[in-house]
Amino acid sequence: MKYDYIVIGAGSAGAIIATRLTEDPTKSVLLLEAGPDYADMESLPDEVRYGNAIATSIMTSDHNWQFTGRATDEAEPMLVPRGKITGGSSAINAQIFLRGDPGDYDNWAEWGNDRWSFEKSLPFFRKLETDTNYSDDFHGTDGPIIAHRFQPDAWLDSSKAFYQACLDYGFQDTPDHNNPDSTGVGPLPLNNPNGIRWSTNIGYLSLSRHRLNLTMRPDCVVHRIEFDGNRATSVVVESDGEVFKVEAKEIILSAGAVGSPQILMLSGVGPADHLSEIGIPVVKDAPGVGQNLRDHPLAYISWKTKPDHKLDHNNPRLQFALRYTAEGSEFKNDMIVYMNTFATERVNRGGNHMDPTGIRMILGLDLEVGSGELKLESSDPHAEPILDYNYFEEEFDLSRMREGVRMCVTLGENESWNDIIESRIDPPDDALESDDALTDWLKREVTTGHHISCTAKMGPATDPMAVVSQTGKVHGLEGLRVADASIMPDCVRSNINVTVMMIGERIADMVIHG
Amino acid sequence: MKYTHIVVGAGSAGATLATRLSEDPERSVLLLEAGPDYPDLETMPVDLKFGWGTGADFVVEDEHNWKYTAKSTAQGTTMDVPRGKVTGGTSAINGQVFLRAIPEDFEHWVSMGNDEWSYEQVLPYYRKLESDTDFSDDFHGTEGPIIVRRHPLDELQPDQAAFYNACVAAGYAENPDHNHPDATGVGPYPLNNPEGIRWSTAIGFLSMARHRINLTIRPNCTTLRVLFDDIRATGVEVESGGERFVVNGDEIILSAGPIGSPHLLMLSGIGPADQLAKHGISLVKNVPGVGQNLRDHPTVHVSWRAQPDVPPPPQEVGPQKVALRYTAPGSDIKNDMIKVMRFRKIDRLLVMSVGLYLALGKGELKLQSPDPDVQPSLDYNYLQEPEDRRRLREGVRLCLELVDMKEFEGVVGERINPDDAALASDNALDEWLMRSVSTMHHISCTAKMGPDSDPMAVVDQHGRVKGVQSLRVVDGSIMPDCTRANTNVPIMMMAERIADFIKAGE
Repeated sequence: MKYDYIVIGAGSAGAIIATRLTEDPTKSVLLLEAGPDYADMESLPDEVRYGNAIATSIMTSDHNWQFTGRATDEAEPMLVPRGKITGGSSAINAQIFLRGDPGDYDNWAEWGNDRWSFEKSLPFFRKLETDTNYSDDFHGTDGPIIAHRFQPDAWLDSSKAFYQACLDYGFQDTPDHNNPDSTGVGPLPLNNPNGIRWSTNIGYLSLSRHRLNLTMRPDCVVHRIEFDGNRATSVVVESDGEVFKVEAKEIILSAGAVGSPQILMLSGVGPADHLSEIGIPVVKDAPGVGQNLRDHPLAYISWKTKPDHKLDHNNPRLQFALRYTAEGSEFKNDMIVYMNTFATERVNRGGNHMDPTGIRMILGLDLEVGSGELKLESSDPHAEPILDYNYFEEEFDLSRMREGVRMCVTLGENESWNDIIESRIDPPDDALESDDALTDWLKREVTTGHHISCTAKMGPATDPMAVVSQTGKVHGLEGLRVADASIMPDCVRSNINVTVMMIGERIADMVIHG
Repeated sequence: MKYTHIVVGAGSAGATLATRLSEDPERSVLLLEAGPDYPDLETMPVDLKFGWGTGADFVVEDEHNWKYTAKSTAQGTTMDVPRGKVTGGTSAINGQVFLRAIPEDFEHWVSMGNDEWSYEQVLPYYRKLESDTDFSDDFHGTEGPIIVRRHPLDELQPDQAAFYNACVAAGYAENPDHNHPDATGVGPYPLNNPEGIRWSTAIGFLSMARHRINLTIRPNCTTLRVLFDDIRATGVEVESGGERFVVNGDEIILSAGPIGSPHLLMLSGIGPADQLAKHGISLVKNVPGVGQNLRDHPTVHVSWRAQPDVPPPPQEVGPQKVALRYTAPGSDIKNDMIKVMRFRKIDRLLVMSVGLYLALGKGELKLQSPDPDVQPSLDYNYLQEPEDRRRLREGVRLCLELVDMKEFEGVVGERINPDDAALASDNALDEWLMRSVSTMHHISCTAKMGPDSDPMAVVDQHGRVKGVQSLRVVDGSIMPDCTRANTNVPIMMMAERIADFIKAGE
């Protein structure tokens, strides 16, 4: 049996690609997902269905690959959750529905991917969304993913205090962070209408799962792709302990920025020396696979709240964000601060997502200069790949974070917090005494923004580190594409989920129309 | 994309067939089911999971039941015909009686020109499909997917013990294993409900196969018709989520049951030419036998009030179903009669059902509309044969004789049905029978197998539909005559056997 397409990974990109490709009833698609599938709202477990409990609630869930990564030499190993469920990470994330800066996509175009300029990407951003607040040239109104922003009557006290503190500091008021010109402080666009995490499973697969030309197979772990010469012909997949081989005319890898380079390498596509080292026969020497690992490193600036300030775990935990440009930076909006209205201790430090420690600002470096790498530990498909995020190798990354931490501390001293904040917890005063002290604190405390990307970047064939062309086709091979966060040439200056969905829409369109 | 096999219906036959065919990773199987699928015991609704409901109070929720209606006789009221609409099919909603057809049934099939279906040839498939937890010998299997047990005699409820003891006192053979080829007389029915769980083909078979990438199970998909290129079946048209799809296969196998399969054949242009013409369906092949030869086990229920101190069976015990199989006096058809008794909790009646395990009469299934959503008309046409009436009359009287025996003292009270007037004469009893007769839920034989010399045969011995290519029927439809047994196990066996025919290229 041979499908027209096999899509590996039913996540933010894969679920979209499978849905779009099966709009043509003559095309058959097999959608493989390692995790379980929940076919309707009723059967969705609460931790997946409800988005108020953010990342920490799913840190140790079966719906999560539960990877670990290295941040810096000084930091403890960090938990790297990635969705293992239909909807992928869109089914377990914080639902921040934020587009990158237009400059991100224009950079991609400038680096030899001319079909990815902001102008050319915009129709796909619009296609995927129903924005319930804005309807104009920049926003979509009939897409599968529903987005909203909390309106003033629903703003929590600490959201309001943050907003006021940012305005007092001099930042611009930004009612719509998805406007291409936006910068400053405003309510986050969120894909969680009525608190429901509107994943690509809910938004897209519910449109397509009845189609007879779409075969969805959850609980299936891909071992590798097999080739006939340089043509990808089949996928070797494990289902309930048994191994099967299934063929397709074209294979589309949407296993995410960890899974896709991992599967490429397991299939013999990757840096030849690394593959030889772990005993995988080389099909194609692709030195860029696993390299160029990008993310948004985070630091938490946290406060203990006054006894009268109520912390309710049922309330939305993220309503507002500030996007700004670091002092002396040429990258617009290279920094982000999320206001977290219900902070909890990290799970790997004994925290529980229901027990509050206070409130915090989450400072993120939205455009790193540094990069890390992903390598294989072994040729066993069940072995976790080595994720080295390698944060803060670049002084510019550190200096921007130090400056950001100091700014957040200042924001926390605004009088708008008078009824809320009792005292600062982190960073402690001694960490603020010198740049060296703050650097030490940052290197210890930094953790992932959950936006791993760029590990199989797109680019022209002239770039030796480019893994795929701008249509997602793996350079030097036939019948194989990658379509997910891996192919970003650089990380976007925003949470990446919407961009990954856009990549899904964009590549699906390229598969259909060339 | 093209599957090697499309199996329509994930019931007693279809689930078995899809499981066996997909053992070969070179075959790709699409299994279409109109009802929902419950992939594991945890998600299975309680009324499907537990077999406490007997045949008479079948699971009737719309979503798991086709809810057909039928005519029993001219005098009878409209009869409900439940058929499973869920993975496992009717094996997921039935009374779990795990009874084999007897060697004489297969002698009969062979005599009708089906020499591949002798008892000797089918026995390995009976053994293959079962794990009998009570008997292990040349006649029983111990490693099959369907788990079988019997209630021990020393654990019988008082009403069941009375029935058993009365039968023994009346001279019937004690029969510890109804599935022994020589069995006759009284004994506990073999039941496929270990720990009370209705061990359907969804549980027994699909659980072994549903992880296979070469098996695609699509529940909630209604098959509308088979598509042909000239006389070669090429695919099916299916409705899913309100949309229509065409799926192609090298071979199409209808396992939609004795109602669904002939219905689909006719909707696809295969059936009696005059019926199809009447409903404007283009003829692919005139096959007059489609829908004809409808067989079942007609039954009537004789009932008494239970004495006040007779306890109803606890739910966890469920219906125990001691059964008497016997040959009607004056009949030359062995084991042609069945009696089984149960305690009906809702009105505290003891109901002794007497049924014809091999009726001479037959009915028919006809197309009512070209709309696939309109059920075909079902006329069971019971008791038109005088011999069927005679055997059932005597069967009723025999029930009364059994209950008059001392073994029933303190168990049975006032008789409710039939009343004394109905028992006054053969004519009066016949009238009661014609009003009261109903289904034992074993509709079958509506697309029977047989040699080319039989103009009413629809399929050959391997289930291939005559006169067309790449199309089989594998389910209770293709039995040439009904079995002297509940039909579920024979249907599973037939699917096992035909799976091997297909694998052997036959």
